[in-house]
Amino acid sequence: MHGTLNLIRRYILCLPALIILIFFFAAPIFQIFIMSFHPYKGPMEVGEKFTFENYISIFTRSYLVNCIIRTIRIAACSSIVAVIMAYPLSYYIAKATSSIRRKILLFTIFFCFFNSTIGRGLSWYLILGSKGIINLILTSLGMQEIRILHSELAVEIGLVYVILPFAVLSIVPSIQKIDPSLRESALILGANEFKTFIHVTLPLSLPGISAALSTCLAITLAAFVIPMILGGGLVDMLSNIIYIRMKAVLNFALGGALSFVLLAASLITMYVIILPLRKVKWT
Amino acid sequence: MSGTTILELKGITKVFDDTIAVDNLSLEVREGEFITLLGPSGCGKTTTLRIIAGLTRPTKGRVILSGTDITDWPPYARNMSMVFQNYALFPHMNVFDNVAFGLKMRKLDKREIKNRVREVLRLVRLEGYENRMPHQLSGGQQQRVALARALVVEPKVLLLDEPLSNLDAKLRVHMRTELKRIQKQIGITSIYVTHDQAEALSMSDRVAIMNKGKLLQVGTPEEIYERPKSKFVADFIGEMNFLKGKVDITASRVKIMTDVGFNVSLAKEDFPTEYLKHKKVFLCIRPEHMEIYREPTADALISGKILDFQYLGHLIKYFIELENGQTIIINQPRIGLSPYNVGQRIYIRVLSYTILPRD
Repeated sequence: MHGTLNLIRRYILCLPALIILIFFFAAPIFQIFIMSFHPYKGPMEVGEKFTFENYISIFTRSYLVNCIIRTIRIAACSSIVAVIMAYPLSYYIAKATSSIRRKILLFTIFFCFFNSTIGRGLSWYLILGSKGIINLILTSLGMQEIRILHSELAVEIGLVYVILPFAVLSIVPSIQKIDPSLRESALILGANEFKTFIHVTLPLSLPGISAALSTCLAITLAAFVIPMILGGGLVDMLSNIIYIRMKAVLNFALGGALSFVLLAASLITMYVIILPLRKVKWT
Repeated sequence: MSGTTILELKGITKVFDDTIAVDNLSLEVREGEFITLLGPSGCGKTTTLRIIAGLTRPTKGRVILSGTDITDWPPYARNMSMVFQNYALFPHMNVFDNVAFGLKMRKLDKREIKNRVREVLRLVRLEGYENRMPHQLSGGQQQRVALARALVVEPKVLLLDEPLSNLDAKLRVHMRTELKRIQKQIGITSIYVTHDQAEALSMSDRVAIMNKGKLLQVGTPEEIYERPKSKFVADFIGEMNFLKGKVDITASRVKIMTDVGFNVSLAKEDFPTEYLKHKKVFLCIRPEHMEIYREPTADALISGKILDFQYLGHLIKYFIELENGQTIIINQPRIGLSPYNVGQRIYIRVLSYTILPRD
């Protein structure tokens, strides 16, 4: 009796969030999961029969298979690039001796979150477009105009821009957490700045790097707005396809199956990219 | 101990923002000696150590190692090593890789690295721990790994920054002897930083006392304890009672008079000449350099009243109020209970004292 009471007490704190998650997240997902194993019968309707045909049709249509591969490729490239770009900045923020400078930098990064992704996507649309600043510079230098918009590169540029702050915010604390005497210890033991970084700072900030990669992958694999704006229908990612199936065609069976393919693809991609980081031996 | 100087600090000054951490410090460290920088926290001893290591750049002054000016050298070029207060073991490496780190950076071949790591682990009595991770070790063991890692590179100077302060009291005393044994065995020049005077006195060949960034006195533990050159040193090392005295100099003698009935008359040549210009001095008396009597005698002229006492086992510590209202401490070796009671009037005989200027 006393034990149960304690158990209830312990979990009561989780209850509000748990209710929301179960009713509005887990339940619909479960429903879609069920629907993905039934045949398409009409708008928002599925048949009675249990079937794998939705999944089979995904993997037999080259258009959808290509989309899965493209999604993984774009997500992996932009996440890795974002983390590589975020690391030096994070290092600078973590090591900034002036706390005012550090706060200004962190606030600037937080500030990016206040703007909507649509706004940010559209600004890149202007920058990369044929009358955008890049092409203006190129043409004013007498060079040929280049077409970046509506390409994978454009989507990747937009995504890197969106996820960079997430990467920085994941990496900064992991660098800050490293005891400064470890670095000093390595320096005194004969390691120069570069070797100290390779043997001490980098391996000890790996948890931050893998956290940053996971966050970036989770965001980019499910990207919707950026590929829609900067891809212009030519570089659709899985979320765009799912949206079309579910919302435009109202095919919940195929849309559901695609959702679970996206989920599986996400988990596999994260596993493949992050696992090696845990196994590296650094000495 | 050979007398040759291995490390020389010349007029080292370090200013942080607007506070002076180290103030014009000069010190010579001899080859093979164990020298301790001792002082209260914030006295600049750790900053001095970091300047020697190359982790902090001095604002002024030079650091000379074996005749070479290394002031502008980075830490990794100095061939020194350091044991940190928190040990600073690399948490992602096992004991072997931690100890081997310095040797790998020096690009020694694998066989030699293996042999030297094994040898140094035997020296610190940690054979068989090669594959343990730092978090699997006790505080004392981590301490030994840190020491092994510092020793294995055969540094010219070993720097130790309060290495024992994170250990519990008993282990700390044990590690003192252990550290001293290892230092003697390999004869390595060591600079030790601590605020613990018992550590400093028991381990060091010489002690350098620092306060507010200044080096006050350097000497063997006996010199520091027996002949302190300033009130700070006298007060900081052990316990000390200070009696205020007025100096009266006649043709051949110097008389020092206190207001507690204790006066000293010295032949002029026995009075430290450098204090001759001072009209006021302190008579400094260690608590163990006084005896308590029930009745006044020709030698026991200071009268006082026992305020309180503490029974400490091997001795009894008396707190005594003198006639001028000043409270002094007297330690009396004693077997059994205190022969004196609180409130009792007693008379004190002074066995030995030191004179220090008072201004």
